[in-house]
Amino acid sequence: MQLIAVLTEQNHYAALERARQISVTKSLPTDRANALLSADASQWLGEIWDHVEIALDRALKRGMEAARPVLEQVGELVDKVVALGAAWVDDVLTTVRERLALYQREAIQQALNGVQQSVSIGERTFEIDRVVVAQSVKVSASVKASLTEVCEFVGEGQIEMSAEYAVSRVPDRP
Amino acid sequence: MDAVHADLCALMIGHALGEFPTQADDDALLTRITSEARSSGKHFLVAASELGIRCTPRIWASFLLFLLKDWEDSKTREQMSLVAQVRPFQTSEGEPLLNELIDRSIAALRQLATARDGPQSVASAETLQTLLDCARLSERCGVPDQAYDIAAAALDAAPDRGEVVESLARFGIENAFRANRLHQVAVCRAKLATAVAEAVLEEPSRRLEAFELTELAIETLTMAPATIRHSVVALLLPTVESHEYLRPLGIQLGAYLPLKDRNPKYQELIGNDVWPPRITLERSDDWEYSVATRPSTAWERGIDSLRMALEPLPSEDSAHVDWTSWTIRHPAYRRAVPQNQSFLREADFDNQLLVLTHELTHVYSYIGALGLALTALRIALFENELTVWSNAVKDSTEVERRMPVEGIANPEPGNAVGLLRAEIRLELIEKATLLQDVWLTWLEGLALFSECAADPQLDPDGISPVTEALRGLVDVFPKSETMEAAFDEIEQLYAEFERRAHAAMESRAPIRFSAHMRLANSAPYFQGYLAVRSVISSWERTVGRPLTGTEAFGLLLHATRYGSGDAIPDLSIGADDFGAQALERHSAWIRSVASLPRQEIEDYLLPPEKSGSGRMFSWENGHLSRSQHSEEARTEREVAARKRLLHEAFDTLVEEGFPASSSQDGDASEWAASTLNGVLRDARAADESVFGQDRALRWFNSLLDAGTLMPIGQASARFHLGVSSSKPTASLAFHLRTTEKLARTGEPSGNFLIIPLTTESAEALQAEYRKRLVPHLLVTRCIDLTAIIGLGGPGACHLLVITYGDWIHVRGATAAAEIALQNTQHGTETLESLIRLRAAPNPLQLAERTLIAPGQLALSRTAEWLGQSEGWNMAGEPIIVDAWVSRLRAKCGNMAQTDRGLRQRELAHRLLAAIWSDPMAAEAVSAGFESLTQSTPNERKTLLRWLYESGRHVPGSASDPQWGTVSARTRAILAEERSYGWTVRPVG
Repeated sequence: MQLIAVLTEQNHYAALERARQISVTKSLPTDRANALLSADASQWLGEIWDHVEIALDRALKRGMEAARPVLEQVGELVDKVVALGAAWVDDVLTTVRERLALYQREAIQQALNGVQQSVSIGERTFEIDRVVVAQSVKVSASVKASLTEVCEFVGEGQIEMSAEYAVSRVPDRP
Repeated sequence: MDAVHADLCALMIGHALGEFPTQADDDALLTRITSEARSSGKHFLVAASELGIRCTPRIWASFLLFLLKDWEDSKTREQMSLVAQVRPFQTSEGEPLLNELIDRSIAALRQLATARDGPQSVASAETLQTLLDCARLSERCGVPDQAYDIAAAALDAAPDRGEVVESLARFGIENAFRANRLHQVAVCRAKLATAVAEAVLEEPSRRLEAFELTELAIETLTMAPATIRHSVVALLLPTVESHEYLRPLGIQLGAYLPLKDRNPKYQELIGNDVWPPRITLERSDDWEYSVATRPSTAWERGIDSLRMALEPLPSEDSAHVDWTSWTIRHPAYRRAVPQNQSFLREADFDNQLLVLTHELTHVYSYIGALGLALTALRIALFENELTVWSNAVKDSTEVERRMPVEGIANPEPGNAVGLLRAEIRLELIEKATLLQDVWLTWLEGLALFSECAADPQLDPDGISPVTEALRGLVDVFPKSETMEAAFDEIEQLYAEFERRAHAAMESRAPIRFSAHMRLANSAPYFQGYLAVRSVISSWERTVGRPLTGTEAFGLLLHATRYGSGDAIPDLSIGADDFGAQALERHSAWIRSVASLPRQEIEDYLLPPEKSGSGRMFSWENGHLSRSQHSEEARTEREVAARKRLLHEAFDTLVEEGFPASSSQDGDASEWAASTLNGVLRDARAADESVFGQDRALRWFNSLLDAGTLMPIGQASARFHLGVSSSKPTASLAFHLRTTEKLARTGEPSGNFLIIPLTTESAEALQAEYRKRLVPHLLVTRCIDLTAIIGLGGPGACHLLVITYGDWIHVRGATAAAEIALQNTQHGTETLESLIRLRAAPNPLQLAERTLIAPGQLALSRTAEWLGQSEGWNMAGEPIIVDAWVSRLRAKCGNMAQTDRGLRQRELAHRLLAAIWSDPMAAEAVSAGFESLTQSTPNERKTLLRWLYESGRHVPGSASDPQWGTVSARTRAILAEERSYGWTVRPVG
């Protein structure tokens, strides 16, 4: 059966929340009072990621075209941070890509959670047995390219899939 | 070769045994046995057995010596296997240590005999270990010289490397030091250095250890006689030459060779310079100049740098302060000490200044009601552990030996009396961590506000203690000749520091602020900052004007330190209620501080008179006023508060009445309950006796005073001491690393210091040097945060503390600080003991700080003990305490599994809900800044800028023009509009 799972705002925010858990900073010890030694990496991650979220938000709510100008801004920010040549630049870019990959996985998972678990036809109930998602997204080594892919996926606003349902139980005869 | 070594080792064992001659009773028995053996032709041991005589250890020693006389004879050596087989059936009584020595000697002689005549090598790890056991036991039996000889003979036979070789060498070093035989130290240190250097081939992580051991071995050469020196150099030289990282040490080593034998390459580097001794006994008039300029000094500086380069530096994302020691851990100051102007020349000055501002704010926050409470709990925990130790180990010297190493003791498994102490332990740890977690939100908010908003240039009249302490890291040595000109010079330097601090805030604070606000899975910085800003917002509403960041910070810190006594719950209450009470009182305190009346705020903010004597404010029932009390009255109140806190902490569980808790469990019989009641009474009596002696209170005061002498920067440094019988003072010279990275070069930097020492101090250092023969001393900079010494000129007193083993020298970092130190009301001894407690604690003090107070070790040891105990008894009588034990096990499990980060964030959420009286708003910010703005990421930059700028509130600055773009929802949650612009929502 061909199905469409809609990526809701709620799914989108939940996926973003998970993605933001990936940090460029190691987790700080909880048994003492800490201050970050260097904030540059966190600052740049925040700056780039804010634009990533803006782009995803626009793609989801207004479509891919609305997100394009922000994609350009992300590209410019990435160029700027690379030009700094600091030791932490790779960590920032890797974190952005990892966040994008996690966001995408979570978004799909969130959307799949909304797929009907069973269908009833007449007296028979069919439980979901197998789902094949049609779309595929690649997170590449380029932040901008990865973001473009994910935005296109989000811009669709829905996930096409084929689902197979199987008989799980036959009601007892009265 | 094996035969020679085996014979030598056997001979040395014989020498040790020879120190235990038979006594009168033994002689009679010995005569009977030998007569019987001679007349019957039976073996000595068989004769003894047939006569029914149990040989004493001394008879055994005598017997072994008899055999050793004929050690050269292979038949005698063959007997050793038989002796070893018989010994378990012919054990001897009395003198247990000597008995052990006999056991190990027999084992050693058997192994040596086998090695001499068979395929086994004397140098096998098993034989060497047995010989080491013999050496250790000989020393414990009171024959240290013979003990050394056994170890030395074994070392001679030993291969170049191996664990037991290292143990033998370490034993030899300790033994030789105790006997003050420095030539023996030299040999054993060389053996150890060689063994570890060889081990590095398989264990590269031991490079630093090998480097340091080689340094020590070379250092010892100065004190060794010429003959020994040459053989030690011959031993060390191949090792040093064959390992690249050790080669730089070859120069110093080569200096002990005749000129003709020196490596020409080294010669090019230092010429014909003779390596100066660590201590020059008759220093010349130009000794200082000479020691500062000779090539060997430059080379020593290089050796220090090379050693530091071998130190593994952990990669860290944060600097931190721990709740126990109140010490800032910052990688830039782990092995560098700010001195003279070095602080201003740090490559990363801006960042470092802000990080230190943040962390020093934490330290100052602890020096107040919160720190008092935590220290009281810490002392109660230590006293509890002392009781556990004294119950578990009856021998007090054993406690003294083991406690610094092990930290925590457990009673015998199944000893029900220990349950009470275990529960007290868990309760105290839990209450301390709950207090920390409840307060963390506020403290992080305050520290972030301090580094980002308390710009010293915003306050033309005063200075915060934090800025003052950091400003003091720049040492002022005025060059002007008149007092007036000197003050001008100081003023200019201070102005320069404030300008640099302002610039650091301008350039780095916004970035650091954003980074901390975005941290969602760490401490609740965002929520803490909002809590702090809410209080300021309330004050601003009260006074009808915005407060600058500097004004607000001063009042916030004062309230946190001196006005929060009521925020601390009764320390005696159970941990189950303690957390809730701590949060309730903490939030009530914040609300109370936020509602200060206008007059009280204005009065505090009024600039002090330039030439006035200063003002003192105090808090009473949530109100702030100029203190009307005399110093005596204030001290009396302070002492009373400390005593109350100590009593409360010591009353943990004891006050509640233990039997009630056990009978609630329903499994303690009447007999058990009454017995445990006795335990309770004993515990209370023990605690009261502690108070009777005032020991705990004295220690409480020491910890608090020492806590305010904050170390910042520590470095080891090679030194030279020049003394002279004709001069009134000695000179101590050393090169001090002052930065890890100098702005100008990007490399570490240092200063060469020469300081005068009194003759007595120099003699004490010489004596300590002979006991240690270590080329470097340890230099620590300490800041007297609360002027317990006095003011070091216009600001906090900074000290340089130089330690070398038991030797200590404290001096002011500047002339003004030195004068303050000379005139302090504290006696030198008291001051030194406080500084030692802080900068160079003894092993027990260190164990208390690092093993006991943090609580994790106690927690795991308690769980381990509960797990080992199956049945329970009291004074040998079985007792049913299953429910009690289950409760403790569950408590241990819960404490170990608590995710403190999560708990801290939950507490932050509840704190904001309580102080805002708006659960929806508190909920909205609970998951962090980025979650709050998840549907409006485009407003984050504007919001962060607004939160940052409105906190500093630079007079005349324009409000952020983009503020209008922030959504109505976010505004409603975070902000309130005032006539002077938008600010964070107030408390209420």
